[in-house]
Amino acid sequence: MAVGTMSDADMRQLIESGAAKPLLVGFEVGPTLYADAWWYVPKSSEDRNYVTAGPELSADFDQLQARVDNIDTVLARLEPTNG
Amino acid sequence: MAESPDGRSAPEAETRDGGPATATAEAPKSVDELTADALVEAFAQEVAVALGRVAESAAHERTVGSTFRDLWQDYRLNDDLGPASTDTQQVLQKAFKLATTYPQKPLTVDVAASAVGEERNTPEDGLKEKFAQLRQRLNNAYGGEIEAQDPERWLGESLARLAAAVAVRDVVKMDDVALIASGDQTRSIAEAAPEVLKAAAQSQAATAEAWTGSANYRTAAERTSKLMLATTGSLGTAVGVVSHLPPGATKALVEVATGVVIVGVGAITTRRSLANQRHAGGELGGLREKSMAARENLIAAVDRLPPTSRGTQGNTGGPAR
Repeated sequence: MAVGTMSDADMRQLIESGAAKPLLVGFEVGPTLYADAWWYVPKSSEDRNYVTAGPELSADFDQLQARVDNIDTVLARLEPTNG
Repeated sequence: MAESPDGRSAPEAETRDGGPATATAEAPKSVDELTADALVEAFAQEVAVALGRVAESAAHERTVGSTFRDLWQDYRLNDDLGPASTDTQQVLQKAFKLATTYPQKPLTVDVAASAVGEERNTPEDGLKEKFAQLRQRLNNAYGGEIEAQDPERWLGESLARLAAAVAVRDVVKMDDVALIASGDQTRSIAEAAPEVLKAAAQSQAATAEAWTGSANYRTAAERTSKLMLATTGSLGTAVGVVSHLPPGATKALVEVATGVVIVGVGAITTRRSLANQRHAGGELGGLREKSMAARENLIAAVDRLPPTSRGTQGNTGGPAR
């Protein structure tokens, strides 16, 4: 996979527009899905630039995404049915 | 079992299976990891209390186990809680196993706690009392017995928060992946956590003046409460459930989380000392004791904060910017 980079500001704009989806909502910076690829900011990054994740890390993010999505699914089921 | 200077059982410092106080060959955890662990523990404690409420309220007690088991599985907590390092997490995992193995038997936190005690071959090690104290502590912080209109739903939502906290912890543990919390100030969990330590130290130093409204003391307590609200708010926002918490429960969680974080941060000294790392003593040495002593005062100060600082302000909206 080609390595891409993107600024924190650009990614935030994409998140706000709905084009990109962060793994964990409510965090300023974190793994984010955009254009069918996972992007993240390395801890070692000084400029907060996002880079694309490699296959192994992407698989980890996919797994986490499935778990987080599942939380919403279960919560929706718990919502009282008001008819 | 070790107790804090205030006479209450420290939430996790005394645990025997990998808890901070018993670290040996394990690599020292980062501040981020300790903070994430503390948040997992805070929400695990909420689950324990919610499970107790369901057990007390269930018309048919045999349904408690299957409800808990199904929710635990639905949130995929089966394998994802990781090695249980605290009493609370061990008891919850045992509750799940009991509910799976004996779905028809009544399930309570006390039953699970007794089972864990038996497994340790120390059935009288005070686990049940510890959970009674936890319930009392939450109730005290809440200002009365926490009541949820629908205890089963509260259990489901508290498990959702636990599952979200576990997901956050999993990201924090990833090598070289940054996770930066939103809040009043944008900063990493690692950046924020030492401030809790600093705040605890500040409040300790200001204890003599605390009850006269010392500005330093108030600032320290306010920072601590804001940090915890921001962090728990982020987790809550992640799953969109905080607005459904019983009124006042956020404050109770802050009380618990503040204590847990202080204990967790205190553990850094233990780990650093064990690792013989340099510079461990000067800045952090002895601070755990001070932190624990300051804890009561921090909690009291959170009570006295204006509503804009301690309410559900950070928890009801979308992602904070």
